Amino acid sequence: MRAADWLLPGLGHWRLGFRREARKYVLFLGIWLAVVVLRRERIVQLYDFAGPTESTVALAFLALWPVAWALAARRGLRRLLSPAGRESLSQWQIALGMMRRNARCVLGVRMLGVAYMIAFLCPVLAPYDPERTPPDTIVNKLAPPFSTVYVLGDRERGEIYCRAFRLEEGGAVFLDRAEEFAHARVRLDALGEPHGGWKRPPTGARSLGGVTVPFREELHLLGTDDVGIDLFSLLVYGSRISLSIGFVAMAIAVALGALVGTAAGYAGKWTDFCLMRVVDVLMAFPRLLLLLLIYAAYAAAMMDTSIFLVVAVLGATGWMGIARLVRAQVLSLKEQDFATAARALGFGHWRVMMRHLLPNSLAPLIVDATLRVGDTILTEAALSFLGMGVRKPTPSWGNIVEGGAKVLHEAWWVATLPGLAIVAVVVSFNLVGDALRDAMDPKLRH
Amino acid sequence: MLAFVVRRLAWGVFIVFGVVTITFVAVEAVPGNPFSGLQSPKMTEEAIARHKEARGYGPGRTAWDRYGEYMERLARLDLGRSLAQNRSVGAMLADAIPNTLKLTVAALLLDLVLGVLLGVVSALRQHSKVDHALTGLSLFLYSMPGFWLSLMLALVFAVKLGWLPRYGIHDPEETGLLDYLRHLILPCVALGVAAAAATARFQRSALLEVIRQDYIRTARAKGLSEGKVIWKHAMRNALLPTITLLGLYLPFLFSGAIITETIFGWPGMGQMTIKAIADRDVEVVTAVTIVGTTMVLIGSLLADILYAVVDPRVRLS
Repeated sequence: MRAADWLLPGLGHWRLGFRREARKYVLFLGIWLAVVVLRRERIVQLYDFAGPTESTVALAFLALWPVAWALAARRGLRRLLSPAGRESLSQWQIALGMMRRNARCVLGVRMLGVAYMIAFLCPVLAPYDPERTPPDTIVNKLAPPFSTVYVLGDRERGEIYCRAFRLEEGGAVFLDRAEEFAHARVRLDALGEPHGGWKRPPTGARSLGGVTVPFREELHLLGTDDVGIDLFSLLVYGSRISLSIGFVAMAIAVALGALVGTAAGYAGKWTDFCLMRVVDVLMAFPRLLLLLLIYAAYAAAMMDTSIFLVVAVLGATGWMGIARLVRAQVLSLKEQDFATAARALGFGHWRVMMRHLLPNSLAPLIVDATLRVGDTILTEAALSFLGMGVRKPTPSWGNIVEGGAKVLHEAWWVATLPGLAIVAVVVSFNLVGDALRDAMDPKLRH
Repeated sequence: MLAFVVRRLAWGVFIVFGVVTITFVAVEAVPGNPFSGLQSPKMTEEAIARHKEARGYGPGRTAWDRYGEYMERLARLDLGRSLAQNRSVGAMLADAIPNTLKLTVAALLLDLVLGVLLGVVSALRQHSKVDHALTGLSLFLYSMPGFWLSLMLALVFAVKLGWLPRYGIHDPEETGLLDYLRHLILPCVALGVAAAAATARFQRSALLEVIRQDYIRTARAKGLSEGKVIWKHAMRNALLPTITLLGLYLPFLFSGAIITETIFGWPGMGQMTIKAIADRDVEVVTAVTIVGTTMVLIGSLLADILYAVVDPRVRLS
């Protein structure tokens, strides 16, 4: 292995004939290069466009990407050069191997990879600020996908937005959304450098009879929403919510459920009875109703509409099924010899529970949790859709659809596109979860 | 059997009690009182004081007093009066429940028929193109947010194509059954299709497990037609897990109905719930919670009973 092989990921693979692996590494670096080159202007002044936290996260992600990939390539090459012998594999290694061979799982992981990449790089990728309503809502709102808004400079009034404009003798005619309706007419010599300066530099110029009129084009790839915010930027920023909430809420639910389930199963008797009755009562609540109730009560009580509250509430209402699952596992595990041995060695209850019983019931727990992540994402989206979850101006896919539902008659894209994004992410999680379940189930292994 | 049902019903009363208590605590945790949102200029101070007195918010009254009173009223099956609508909650429920029930039952039927049928088709042609297409479709459908599916159906069939109505249960000045059914289609499909996708997945794996068993080979060996083998012998066993699932769907459909009804303007419990939560209409929220929980409990009880009916090996105890 030469130094260049791991400084330039994929080169070693290519040189040694592993063309398929090499292409994978090159593709990944290509995406990185494309992002860096195409968005170089944004990256250079990232902190001016976006908040400090998300800018730092995005820059760190961009910086660590090639490093991580080079390390992965190096490790992969080492493994290819000296394949592991028939050493014994752990349960998890076997499962991982099975999942690697499962095409649907690989597809799911790739889609999730792209989704998380977008979420990390949101300030780099989003062309506009998703939390700021543009100055001219009437012109900007409900632009269909692939439409362009033109911005011209008026020396006295500042920037003027229009959907199209026409230069005529004596003036410029601005056309608004319906195209045939002119909404303003400005003398040609009044146009140029706008009052207060360009917010962003102009991208083109048209001239008529010796007068040159500079203008800026703002492309809305996926159109705009009902107040004129770029939908693509909204979707890119909204991905942060869906992709993080599913995980974090699930982690809270798993922690709570594992704790209650282990305690109930291990202690037995009255503790078990009482805890399980609480679980019964909470499970009898239709979940959405429980969420709405808690949320209505606490959001009002704490005057708090932050994301943390949504996460906490989702976690606090999702643990009951997990508690039942863990309890059943612990009930059967604690009768086994290793548990008795651990007790006989004089270990405390806490240690037996946490170090012996819980790790052994981890496999079904993890499968269950993965399959529930998708469900949690859907629930969060539903809450946001009902206006009880993440609220505007923080974009989440659920509350973008809510805005789109109001303008369904005029603009199909606002409600449709974020929904597609939700479906893509949830499908990916379900693909991975299904594959994990199949891989962890010894009955299906042959 | 009877003893089992009685025991389960008694247990159900306990659960409803727990649920009411939790709801009460959640409602009490809201700062202020249910009157905060109601300060219309037309209401005089005395009128507000009178209302407060009548509902246990008078001077010197604590949450414990209100809880006791509420439980006492509930024991007499008196659900109180809605503050926002000034109607008896019982009357409001009597208006809303039939609508929700019709929608839910229609969705449940769609779920059962479509789900079982698709599940059987893809199990019988395992690993064929049809099977792959159906499995993919059902994964797609159940990964879909219910509200989004509702909106897309409304967009395509009501807004763009104009085939079906967008809102409500009747066109103005129409009362016929046909008109009602036309209004029912979209919400019913929105609610039932995602559930059907899950049922189909479930049914597929259940049937696959059953048709590998020896008694199916025996049935085939003695010369029964394939239709008889599948529908009379295999399905009798393969339907069991699906039936349990159906009972458990009732709460899911109820949760789904909250959103679907809001989107399609269906005047049922879902719409009532959202409005009551927005208005902080305590009495209505509690009543809706009780009804929702009862539906869940009845669903799981029905599932158990049906299970015993279909499978003679199951003894309820």
